[in-house]
Amino acid sequence: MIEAAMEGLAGVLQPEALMFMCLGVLIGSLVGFLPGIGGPSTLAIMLPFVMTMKDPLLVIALLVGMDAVGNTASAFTSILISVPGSSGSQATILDGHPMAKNGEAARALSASFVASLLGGLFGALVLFASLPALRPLVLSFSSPEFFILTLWGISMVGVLSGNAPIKGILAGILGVLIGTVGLDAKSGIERFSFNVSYFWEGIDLVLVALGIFGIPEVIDLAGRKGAIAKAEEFGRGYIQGIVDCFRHWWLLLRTSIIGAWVGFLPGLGSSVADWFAYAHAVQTEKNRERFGKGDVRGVIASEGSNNAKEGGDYIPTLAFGIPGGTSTALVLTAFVAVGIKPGPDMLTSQLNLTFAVIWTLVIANILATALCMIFARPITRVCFLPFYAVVPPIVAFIFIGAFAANFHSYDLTALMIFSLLGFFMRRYGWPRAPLVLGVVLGDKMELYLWLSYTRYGLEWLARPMVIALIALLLASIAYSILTGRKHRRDVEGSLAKA
Amino acid sequence: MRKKLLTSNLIPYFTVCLLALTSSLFAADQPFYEGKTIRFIIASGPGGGTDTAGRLVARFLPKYLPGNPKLIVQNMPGGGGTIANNYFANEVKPDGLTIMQDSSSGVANFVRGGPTIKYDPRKLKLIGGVARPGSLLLIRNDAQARFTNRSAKPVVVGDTDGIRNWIAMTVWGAEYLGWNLRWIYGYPGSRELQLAIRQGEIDMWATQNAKLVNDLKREGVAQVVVTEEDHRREDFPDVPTFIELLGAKKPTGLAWQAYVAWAGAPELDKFLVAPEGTPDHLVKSLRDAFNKAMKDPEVDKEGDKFFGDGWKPISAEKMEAVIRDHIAIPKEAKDLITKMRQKYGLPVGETKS
Repeated sequence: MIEAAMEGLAGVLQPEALMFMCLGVLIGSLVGFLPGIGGPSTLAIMLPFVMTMKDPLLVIALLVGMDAVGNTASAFTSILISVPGSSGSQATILDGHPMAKNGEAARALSASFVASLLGGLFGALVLFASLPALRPLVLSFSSPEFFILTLWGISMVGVLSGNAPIKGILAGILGVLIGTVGLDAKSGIERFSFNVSYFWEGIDLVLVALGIFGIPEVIDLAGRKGAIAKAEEFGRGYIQGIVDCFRHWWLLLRTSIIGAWVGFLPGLGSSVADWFAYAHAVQTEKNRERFGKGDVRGVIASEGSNNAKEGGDYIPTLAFGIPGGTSTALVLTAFVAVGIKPGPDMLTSQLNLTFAVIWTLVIANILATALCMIFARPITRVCFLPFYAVVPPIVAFIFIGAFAANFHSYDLTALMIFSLLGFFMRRYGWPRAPLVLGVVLGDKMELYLWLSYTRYGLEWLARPMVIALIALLLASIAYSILTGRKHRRDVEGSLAKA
Repeated sequence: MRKKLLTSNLIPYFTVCLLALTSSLFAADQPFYEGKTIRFIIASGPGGGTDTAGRLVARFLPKYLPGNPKLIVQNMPGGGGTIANNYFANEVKPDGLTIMQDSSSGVANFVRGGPTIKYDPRKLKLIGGVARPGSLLLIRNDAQARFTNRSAKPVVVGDTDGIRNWIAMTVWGAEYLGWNLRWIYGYPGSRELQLAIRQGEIDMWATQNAKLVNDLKREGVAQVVVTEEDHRREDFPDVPTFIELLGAKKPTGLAWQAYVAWAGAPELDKFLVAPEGTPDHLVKSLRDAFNKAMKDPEVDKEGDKFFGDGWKPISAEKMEAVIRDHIAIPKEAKDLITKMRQKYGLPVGETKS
């Protein structure tokens, strides 16, 4: 194994491979930085070029390098202008953008990049550590287990609702309903599509996130007539963000585990990891009242998990040729074209290529973090610009990002509707995160409940893994309620003393 | 003097005429596609069969089109190809500069009908098609004992929407060969189905992916029961066709007509089209280029990697006929399909009469 590991490392360190990896990291970072332009589209554009390449190591360096870092640079727009650069960075907005408004953009960005780096390295480590158990690990989750996981995710709505639990639950239900729009594959019935084929594929999550988070912040900024950051400072927070990551190492480790776990479960999707991790942080950390108002732990949790997910994604891809997500599906197409055969061969005759993937994940994450750190300072200046210089390009940015979702004029109409909804929710104190979480998980929850019931009847409730997961779910809800009560008692106690 | 004047006046005329004639001759020599860009719409998202077939054709088509135009690929996902087909039929200019990679889903949705369908596949100008080898029906090794034993727990067939072409084989197998089956559907795609058959959540599934089938056989997970093709596949010579399995039990008349209508012709898979009204000479250029591209040894090699050895190009004329035949299903056959779907608990959907 050591020999194969060294062979894989030597392969990706050869000058040509390194050059391709740098190119991949550059493209991946740029795609992550630009909202709406997804990794899958860019990978699809690159496929014809990649298929002419003969050396599998170069293909791994380029594509895995590009795929591994998309969620690192996406934090720029999430934190600075409240626009998610990729679907994996939505939860970063919740604390990242308030930090930018509080004059802590540099701290949020550096914490985000270092968390991304450490999360990415952890993902690679998980991939390495799981090599012996790669296949049984993937096979241990069926539809009933997936259903309980989505249920667990939905239960986080309560955690994400802050001081408005009823409004949060209603927003979550609305999100689930939005997730049901489209052609139902199970029955062939159109739901809420009003005889318009645009709705058949459902509402694109990118549009919901851009509308709910992006435009309301722009309106707020224009209304305040100031800059994004209330204080014009940069320096001190930069190092602080790095220190934060190490100070909260236990949280970072836990959320990286969540990210890698979500990654290796094909079927949960790329936009789930950051939400699961963020909700876990809010649920389990002490002094949770700062969450949502600019707590660096929110940024660390979200960004650590979304990069760790990439390593996890490659577990089913390499073990069976079952891609973890759309991006890995395209990477897999290129792999097959250049003679890489996902499956048992990846653990025997092609073990060096498996290690090349692992090393690429490691090196690409380091390169992307260095790149983002270099550009952090000049890009952060956007926070200090007056609103009239920032608002028009951000609005253009959001609309271009929305149009890039499907290149359909209805995308812009949908964006405007969700922008209005987001604006009113923000104005009247309705938590917006539960709505997005509802959209992310609603259709998956319905799908896996349907599959569980049609396949197993009620017998699925007696599966050992399901029982274990339900116990964990109940324990996590109970823990959340108990710590919430304790927190309230502490606050009341300190108020009484005062 | 007059003659000289006339001559001197005529010289510029002649020059202009000569120039015009030369330039028109030159223009006639200049291929239509030279310096132009073709927009190549793929009626699906990135990844998947339609996208792979489209990108394979898109890579090689410009090489064989006189003038070697540039080509830009654009994915247009949604509604199983409906969004792209509606757009293509109603918005695209028939100037030979926009073409579309479509698939059997576009035809199936048209047959299924409904108010969202605003196109007619029969009106499109066919350029050519690509047909992957027919599906291979797999059964898990641990489910084989229950396959024909109706007193045992039924073998679970998994699918995305319960209306795929190969599902017809399982329904007719249950009806005429006594296969002990039940169906569950709703899986998002082949990724989830592959995982489900490996886990044992489903026992039966069909795929065209020869590499995957060989992997599942080698790992001792599943065996191939039958192929939906009319002839045995060269890469799976031991696997019988469905007609062979039916043998003397093969139904006749309307029952077989309904089966053929549901299962579809093996050639109806992926195809390239130009919009209605595209000038004939441009359609001919595109067809010629497609046919030449399909003979390129590199296309053959690349196609084998993605589709397996048995994939084949289909001519535009053949494809046109296949699509017409598929759409012209008699009402009685449609009704019988609906009845069979209802009988076996499969989704019926909306049918166009």
